[in-house]
Amino acid sequence: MKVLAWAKDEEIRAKGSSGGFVTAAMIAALEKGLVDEVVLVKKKNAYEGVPITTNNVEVVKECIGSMHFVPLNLSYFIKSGVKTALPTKPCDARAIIERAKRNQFNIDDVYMVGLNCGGTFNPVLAREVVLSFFEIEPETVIKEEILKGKLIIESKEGKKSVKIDEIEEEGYGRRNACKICDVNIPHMADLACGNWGVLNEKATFVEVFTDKGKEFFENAVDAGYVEFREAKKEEIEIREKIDKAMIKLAKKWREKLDEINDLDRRERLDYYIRMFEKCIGCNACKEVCPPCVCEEAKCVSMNDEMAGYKIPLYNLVRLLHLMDSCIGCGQCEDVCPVDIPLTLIHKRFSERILRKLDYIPGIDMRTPPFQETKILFD
Amino acid sequence: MIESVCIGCSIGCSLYVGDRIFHRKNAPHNEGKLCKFGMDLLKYYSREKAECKVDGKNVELNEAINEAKKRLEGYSGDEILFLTSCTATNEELAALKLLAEKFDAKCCFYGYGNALFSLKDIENFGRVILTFDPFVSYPLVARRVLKVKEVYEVGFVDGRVNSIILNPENPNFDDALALLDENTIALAEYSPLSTVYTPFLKEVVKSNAKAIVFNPTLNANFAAMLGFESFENKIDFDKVKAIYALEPELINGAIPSPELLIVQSAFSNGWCDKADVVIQSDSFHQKRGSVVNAEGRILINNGKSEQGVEILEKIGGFEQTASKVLETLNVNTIKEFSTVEITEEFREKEFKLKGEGKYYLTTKSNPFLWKGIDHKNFVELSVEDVKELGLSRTDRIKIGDKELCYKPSNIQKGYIVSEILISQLKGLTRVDISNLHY
Repeated sequence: MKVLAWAKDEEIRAKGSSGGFVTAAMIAALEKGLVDEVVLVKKKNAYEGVPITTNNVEVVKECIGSMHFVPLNLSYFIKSGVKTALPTKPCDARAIIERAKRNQFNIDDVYMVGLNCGGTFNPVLAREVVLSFFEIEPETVIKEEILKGKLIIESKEGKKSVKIDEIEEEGYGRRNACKICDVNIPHMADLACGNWGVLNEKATFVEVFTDKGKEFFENAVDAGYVEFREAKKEEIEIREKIDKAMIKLAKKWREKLDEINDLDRRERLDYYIRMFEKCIGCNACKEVCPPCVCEEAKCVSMNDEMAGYKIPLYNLVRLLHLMDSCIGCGQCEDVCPVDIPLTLIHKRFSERILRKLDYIPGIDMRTPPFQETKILFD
Repeated sequence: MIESVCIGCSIGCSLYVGDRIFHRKNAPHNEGKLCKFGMDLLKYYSREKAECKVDGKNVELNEAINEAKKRLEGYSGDEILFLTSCTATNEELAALKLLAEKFDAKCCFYGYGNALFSLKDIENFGRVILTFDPFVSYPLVARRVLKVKEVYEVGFVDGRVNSIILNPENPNFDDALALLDENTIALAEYSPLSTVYTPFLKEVVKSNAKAIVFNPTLNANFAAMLGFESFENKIDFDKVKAIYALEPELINGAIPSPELLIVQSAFSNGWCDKADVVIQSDSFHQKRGSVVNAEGRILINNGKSEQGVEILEKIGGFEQTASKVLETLNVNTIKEFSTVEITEEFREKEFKLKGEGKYYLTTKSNPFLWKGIDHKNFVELSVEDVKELGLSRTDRIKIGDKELCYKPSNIQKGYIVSEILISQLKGLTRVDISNLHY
C-alpha cells in the first residue's frame, strides 16, 4: 500500500515537515487507545532535542517537525509491556528489532512509524555548517529540512539552501555512519513515511509494510485525523529513484572513507592497534549500543588496564559480538571520546561474513547466526 | 532528564542525568563525549550522603544552619577562612564570597584560575607540550591532541613517544623551553606535581606560546574570577581559628583542625567526620546554577535545588547572590555555552623532594580523585625493578601503608607510576617498596 497522506488539522499539516501525517497518526493512536504512549523527541532548539515518552496529545503537537541535527536512537526508551508508537529512522527500527530479539520488549507491542532518512548531522558541526556555508547565525535557525539533495535552513531572514554534496566535499555534512548507510527507506518498520516522491503539496508519502502498519494507518483515517489518496506511478518512481541514488552515494562514501582497503594484512593490524590503543576504557560505546543489552557485560569486566594488551579485550569482545549484530547506527562513534572510527571498523569486520551468511542485522526477527550455534547442541 | 555538567574536572562535560547518563551531543566543548568518570557519574552521586550534625549529633537542616550562624559570630579577618574545592555552582561560590565579606575574611580555592582557551583550538597548533598523560587525565583533551602534528610529553618517566625526561633531583626544562614558539601550546594540570612544572609554565606565559592549566575541580575559573586565593600556599593554617568549607572533599592533602570547622557538603567524607557542624546540601546534579569551565564557557546545571545558595544566604543574611554572579561574569543574562574572559598569571610554588626511599613515586595524576569509583589499585614498575624485587605475577607490593597490585611497564628503572591518588603526595616523593609474597 503506497499513499500520499496528510493531517486533516490544517495547523498540524502546515507545521509538519511533510504534511503532518506522523503527528496526526500518533495523536489518533493515543486518543483511540491503540497505544499506551508514544516516544518522541522534544525539540529544545534546531540542534538539540530530548527523548520523551508521553500520552499527552498536546505534548505530541509540540514535537512536530524534522530534526536532522539531533542524532538520537530512540530504541532505549521503549518499555516492556507498554504499547508504544514511535517515529523510527531505519537505524531506530533496526535497533528496536535487535532489542526485541534480546527480550527487552515484545515487538508486537511496538508500532514502528518509519521515517525515510538520508542521514543526520553532528549538531556541533551542523552549527559550523550553518555559519560558514549559509552565513546564518546558528542560534537564529528556526527550521531545517533536507529536500532533493539540498540542506534547507530557515531563519528569521528567510530560507537558504546548499547542496549537501558541496558541504560534504569540504569534510562536513552527515555523520560518517549516515554517509555509508544504504538503508534509507525503513522497510523493516511497520510503515515508512517521508517526502520522497511528493511533488508540490503538503503531504507524506506513506508505504505500509505490515498488518500493524495497516492497523496504525487505518486507525488514523477512521478516527478522522488523516486524509489520503493513492500514490501515483510518477510519485512512486521518483521515490524509488531517490532511494537508489542514496544507496549509490552510500557505496561511494563507503569506499572513500575506508582508510585501509589498500593496506596489506600487517598494515591493517597496525591500523587496528593504532585505533584501539587510543581507547580510554570509558565503555560509552557499549552503553549506547542498541543491541548490547548485557547488564553485567563480560566485555566490561575484561576492560582492565592491568591486562596490558595493545587492543583491549573489551574491544575484541565487542568486535566479535557485533559481527552479526551491528546495525550501523553510529551511536558508538558519536560518543567515543577519542574518535575511534567505530562504525566503519565494525562494518569492515562484519560485511563479508554477513554476505556469506545472507543475514542483515535489524531487518527481521531472525536469530543472529552466531547465536544459532546452540542448535548444534540441542 | 536533567541537563547537567560533569563535576569530574574543569572541562565540565555537559550531559543529561536521569536513571542513566545520556550524552548531550549539542554541547560545543564535549560534543556529548564523556570519559569513564562521566560515564560512571551516577555511582559518584549514589554514595553515602552527608547528614546534618552538630558536635556529632544528628540535627535538622535549619538547626545546623542556625548553629553555624551562631558559632561563626565573633570570628573575623585572618582568624576565619572560607574555602572550597570548587565543585560548586557559580551561585554557591558567589554566595560563599559574599559570606566571607561579611566576616572581612578570605575565600580560598583548590585550583588555578588561568588563561582560557577553546579545546578545539588546540588542534590548530603545530606542536603541543603536555605535562600529563591525556589518555588518563582529562581524556577529552586527547582527541584534540591527536590532531596536532608534534606532541611532546615532559615528565619523569620514559616510555612515551617524544618524551622529555626530567631529572627528579634538578628538573631542567631547557629542552622543553627550546620548543616554545607561537605555534606551540602547553597543556598542564593542577595536581600534586604542579609545583614541579611551575618554572616551566612561568616561562610559557612569558613566551609566544599558549598554555592551558586544567583543574581537577570543576569551577576553579569562576572562583578565580571572584578573587578567591589558593589556600595551599598563601594561608597559614596554624593561624586560622575557624573554617567554613563548601564542598571541600576533593581538596588534596591533610584536613586542617581549627577550633571551629563547619562543612557544607553533599556527601559524607573525612571533612564531615572532623566537622563541628555539618550542613548537608543537595548533590551537584540536583542543583540549579551555572559554572565556568576551562574554556571560560558558561555551562548550565538545570536541577531544581537552590538549597546550597539558600544555606549560605541564611547564614550571612544577604540576598544579592544572583547579581554578584552577573556582575562577576560581566553579563546581563546567563547564556549557556557563551564564553567569558579571564586571565591570571600562573602562581609560583615551591618544589621540594620529600622522603628518602629508593624509588621515585610519581603519579599519572588521575585528576578526578575518583572517590568510591576508581578501583584501579595498582602501580606500574619497570621490568628491571620487577625482576630485582623478585615479584611474581600474583604478588602484591606495599608502599607506606598501602597494599597494591603492580603491572610491569616500559618505564625507567627506579620509578613507580601510580594511577591512584596517594594521600599527601606532593611533587615527587621517594618511597620504598616491600614485596608481599602471595
